[in-house]
Amino acid sequence: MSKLKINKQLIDNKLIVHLAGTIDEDADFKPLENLTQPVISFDFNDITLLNSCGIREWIGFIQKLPASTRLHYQRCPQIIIEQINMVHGFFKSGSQIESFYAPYFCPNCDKESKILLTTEKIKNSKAPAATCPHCGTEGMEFDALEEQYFHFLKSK
Amino acid sequence: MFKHFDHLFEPLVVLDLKQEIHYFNPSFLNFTKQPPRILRGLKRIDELFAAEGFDLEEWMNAGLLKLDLTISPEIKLRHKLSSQSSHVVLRLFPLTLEEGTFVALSVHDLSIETNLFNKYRQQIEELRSTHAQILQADKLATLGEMTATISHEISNPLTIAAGNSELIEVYLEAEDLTVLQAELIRANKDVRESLERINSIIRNMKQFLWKSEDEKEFCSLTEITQHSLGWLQSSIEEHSIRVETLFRTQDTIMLANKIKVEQVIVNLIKNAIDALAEAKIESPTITLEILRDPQDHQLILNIRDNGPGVPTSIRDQLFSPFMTTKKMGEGTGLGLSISKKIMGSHQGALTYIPQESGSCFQMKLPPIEGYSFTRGDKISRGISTKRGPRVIVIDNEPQILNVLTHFLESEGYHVIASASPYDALRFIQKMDLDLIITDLAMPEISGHELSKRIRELKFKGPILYMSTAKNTEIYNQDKETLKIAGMLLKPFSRDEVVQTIKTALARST
Repeated sequence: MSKLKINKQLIDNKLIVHLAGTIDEDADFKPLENLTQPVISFDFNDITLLNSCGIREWIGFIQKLPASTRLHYQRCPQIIIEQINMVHGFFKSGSQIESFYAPYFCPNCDKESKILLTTEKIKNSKAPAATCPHCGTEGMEFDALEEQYFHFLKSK
Repeated sequence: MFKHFDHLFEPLVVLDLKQEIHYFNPSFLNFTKQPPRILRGLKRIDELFAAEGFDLEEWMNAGLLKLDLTISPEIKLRHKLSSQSSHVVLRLFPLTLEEGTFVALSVHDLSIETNLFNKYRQQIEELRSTHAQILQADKLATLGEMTATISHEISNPLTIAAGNSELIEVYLEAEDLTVLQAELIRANKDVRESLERINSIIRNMKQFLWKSEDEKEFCSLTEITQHSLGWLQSSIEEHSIRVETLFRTQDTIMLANKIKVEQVIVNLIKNAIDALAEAKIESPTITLEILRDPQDHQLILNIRDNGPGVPTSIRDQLFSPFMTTKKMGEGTGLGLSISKKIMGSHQGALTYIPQESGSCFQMKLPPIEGYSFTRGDKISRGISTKRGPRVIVIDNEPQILNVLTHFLESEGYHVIASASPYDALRFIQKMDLDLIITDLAMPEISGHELSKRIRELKFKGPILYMSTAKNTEIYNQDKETLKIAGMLLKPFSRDEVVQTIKTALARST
């Protein structure tokens, strides 16, 4: 049984689809088939697991959407970015990543944080500066390999 | 130094001979779910992983010592820095560089495959169990509907037994029993036979209900059809239905679960009886026709009736579960759907053949040669990676086919059975076989004639005859001319069969 929850909201002719749970072999995207809105924005904030079978389901789903539909990806967690960097076809042609999470580490309070970034903040595959949400220290360290993590911005 | 590993999909870490980490690729980060900061802070690989039920340290040490490609079995790897675990196969291989000797440890992550395998295996088990329950429910329903028939079947011999018992009592009151000895023996015999008949009915009922579901054996469709008719005899008589049997072929041996096929036939005949009784046809007739399809040699049983037929509007849903034309409480609506599934599990088919008047259901079963070939193929079924010697057994007696199949399969042979010399010849022409065993006395052509034709097909392997001792002369004549490798004398034991075959195969190589 699908452990993926889908919630749709139509705001000003832009459809926002909130996805929560796991995208795996049981993920059922049927409720999203036959959508006709020109722009669909997917919010991945509450996705907890994405595996290769789920990616297959996702690719199968977006391939069925009309060619003219533009997809926006919002609040992509680290697991989505890692899979996007490894698998071809997660993006539909003409789609756009609006925002995504990136791992940071605060040397002051020794805590890890996921900081929400927008794509325009990334220049030359370098992570932008971030402030620790726990202790307020500026200059957190990026906690992944920059070249690899931001690779999806080049291939998009 | 190791940058070229950056682009690999497979997680990989490079260690020196003390197992200290020198490099890891981005896929390794994804696999461990750790940031590079943590991995760089680790000294040795064993700070990251432990294996369940497998000595990872010993395996690593052995690989480092021999400095050659080393592959682990599939193991469950516990990630020490998180609560997760993965199913993996590890590969260790040496890297000899100017800077020194290193080893690369690459990870083949099988977690998704393993989880899917376990999940689907569990679901298939659940489906099997549900299917078995539905089959059982249908049998119970069928038996419930047949209660009247069974009561009638039992009451006849019971009446005979009771009558004879009373008669014996009367005889025993006579002064001189010696005069009545013959009468007493006859009456007692009638009682015993009647009780045996009742016992046989009850045994059949038990068998119908509880016999193992998956057991398939060589059996005769004609015999099963006649047995099924026996079950329904009183219903047939009650509604004055004429039964016409057209058995157009003698070769009616199939590889099947007798009870399941009987369940299908009983279902179909019972449907025909119900349809005829409901429609009150003037001269109701059920025709049972057995034949072989001339094209694909499948065994066919047509069950026809001259009733009102199936309305066109419901033919598409005829085999859907819970589809019934009977009144509430008279049928579960599962019979045809289950029957179709049973035929499917025999690589056969059940179809409705539209008629100008009346209805016709057609059961089709595959020729036993192809079916026994695929059933015994352990390689395609994933049971074995090695092909055992292929042996074809040709005999028109299903019991012999069952016995030999049982003997030889337990010895690792791949047995193909055939009840028809002509079908066997077609199969021999197409397949690569190691040994042929043929009965000598068969109705279509003799084993001698068959062997002549086999040799004309340029089959160079050993042929064995089987027959009773009176046919030894034929073997003696054919030994040289047809290169017959030996003869199995009926009745034979398991050891005799196995030994004769081993000798024949050894001599041929």
